[in-house]
Amino acid sequence: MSDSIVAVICDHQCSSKGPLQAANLTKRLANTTTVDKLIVLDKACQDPEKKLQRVAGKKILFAGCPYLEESGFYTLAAEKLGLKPGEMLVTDIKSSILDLYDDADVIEENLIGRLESLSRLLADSVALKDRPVKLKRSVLIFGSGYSGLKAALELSGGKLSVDLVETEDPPLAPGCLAEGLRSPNLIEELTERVRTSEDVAVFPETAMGPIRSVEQGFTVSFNGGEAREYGSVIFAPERTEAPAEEIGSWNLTQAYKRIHEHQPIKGRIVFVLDRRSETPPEVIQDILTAAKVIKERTNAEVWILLKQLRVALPGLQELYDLTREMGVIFVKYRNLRLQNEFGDFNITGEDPQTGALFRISNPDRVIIPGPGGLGASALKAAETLGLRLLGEQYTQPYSLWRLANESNHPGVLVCGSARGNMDGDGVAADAASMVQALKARMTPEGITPVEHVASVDAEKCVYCLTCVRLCPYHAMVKNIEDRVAQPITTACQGCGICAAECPAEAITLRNLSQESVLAAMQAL
Amino acid sequence: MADSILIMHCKEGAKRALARMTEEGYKLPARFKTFELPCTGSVNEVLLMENLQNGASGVIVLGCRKENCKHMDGNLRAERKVARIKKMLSEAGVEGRFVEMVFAAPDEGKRLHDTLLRLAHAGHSEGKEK
Repeated sequence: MSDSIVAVICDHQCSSKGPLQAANLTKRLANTTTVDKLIVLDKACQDPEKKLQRVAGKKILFAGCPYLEESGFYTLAAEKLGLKPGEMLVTDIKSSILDLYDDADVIEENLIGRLESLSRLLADSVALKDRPVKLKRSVLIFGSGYSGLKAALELSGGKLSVDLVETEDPPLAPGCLAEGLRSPNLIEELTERVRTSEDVAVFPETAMGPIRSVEQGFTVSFNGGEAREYGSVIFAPERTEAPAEEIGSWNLTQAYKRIHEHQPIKGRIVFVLDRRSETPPEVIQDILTAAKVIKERTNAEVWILLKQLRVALPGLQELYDLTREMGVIFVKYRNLRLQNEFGDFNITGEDPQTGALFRISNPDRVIIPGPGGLGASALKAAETLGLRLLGEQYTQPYSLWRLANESNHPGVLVCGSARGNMDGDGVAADAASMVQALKARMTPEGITPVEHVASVDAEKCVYCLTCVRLCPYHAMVKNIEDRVAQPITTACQGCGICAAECPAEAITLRNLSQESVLAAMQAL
Repeated sequence: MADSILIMHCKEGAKRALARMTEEGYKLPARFKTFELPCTGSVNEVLLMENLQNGASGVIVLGCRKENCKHMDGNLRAERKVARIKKMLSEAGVEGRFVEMVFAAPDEGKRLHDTLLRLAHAGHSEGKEK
């Protein structure tokens, strides 16, 4: 590969100012130093293979419209010409030059500036010789609730080895208990299947050591033993419910425990929904299931006070109709007042339409579902894994850029109700989507580092660990033996935040060093 | 480079915002130059200052909308650095040169265009008045 740079411009009526004048461009380019040859193609997207023959054996700077990228022209070009990343640079000139300026002369000037600028970057860049890193063919699942068990069963029997960490934190969260009511002994059966499965090894959470990131994934040691290696970690802890907010009332978990243990529930039972915020449909489903079971088993009087009923889940309308037929009383309210004298409640409210007052004196039990969130051990694990929490609800920010189960830490997939309120079907569907995300990550070919991967100059690194602290992807780890920061190339996304923040200027992005960027900016 | 305004934008949301702006038919004066970076988080003080030193009359760092940065908080980190340089410039009494941080979502073509022109105008007239 020679070091000369050829600029290839595709000009297919991209500019509203008419076609580019190749002669003008060549004349202007003669004043510059870095671009050796300029080729203006009429339609690069048509019959590309023939056109590519002219530019073989050189570093190439492609300038064209975004369609060329979408149509796979650049991939084809790289394949045909044997170009590796670092030997080829692509720039979209349609939106950033051709359509950005009004005047044809300005367009030409800026186009040449862009070519000159990027050719300086290209001149400094080296061809990549990375070998893909193969990930370990094993998975660690954190969480033994419905979603964790479901994920373990989905993955067992495949080519992956599966380890499951049994969390102690939630005895059983309301969603899990509700699922257990809908199909009795479900969790017990799933647990039994996982425990007896030969493919799944189960470890208690207390035995688990810290999780470390390595090139091939993660390592964890249990009971201080030999480190076990994983290609991916699945974070699937159960959600827990906040404790009951009023003295003498229950939250949903407490109510479910009573139902599960067949303890007597009698008298007048009042569920209060939408008290602080709107109750999500999944929780309403759990409440209706509980009301149904109470009605089936006892002759208790069940009231459900709510502001609105959103039947946004399949089967919820039927459940509502069924519970109403069974005699559950639904009351819509506004201005609800809950007087609590050491557990003796006095509830008053208004009908939102007629304004008529209603009053429930001294009910036997008031059940107020609390906000859901992650339990203490799940929060600790999320911190160890470096997952960003959004409020108390989600373990990852909603992002259009990522798949649903991916988190900010590459390799850690979030699954099940840890992602938000989910009913049993939702958890099962999420376990299946997690398997797809896992397949996308654990390809047999392995993971190739990105072009602009960060590298640390061990001589300059002062081991301040600024980069370890602020990398959004946890792609920087500390190398304790050599006292330097060390990038995990399979996790690095090449954003350059570490390089910009490093106080010792020890971090550079490959093919995008500060000097070459400055030189490129000057050439504009 | 002289008297130009350099827009350093990220290749994610901000690039799409610029593309949307041109799709909607808004044009920029010839003074504006654009340069693409992986994320505005990779902008540092040296890049900002060197460009001003090399004759650019303004540097605009164009990042994704707040809370929408692909790399979590790269745009906010850039904002902090821009604020630091702005303070330094005003303390040193530098006239006619500016650095600014602009956030843009991919559906804000017109707003982005207005903001860019306003900044260029303000930076220019400020220098002349003084």
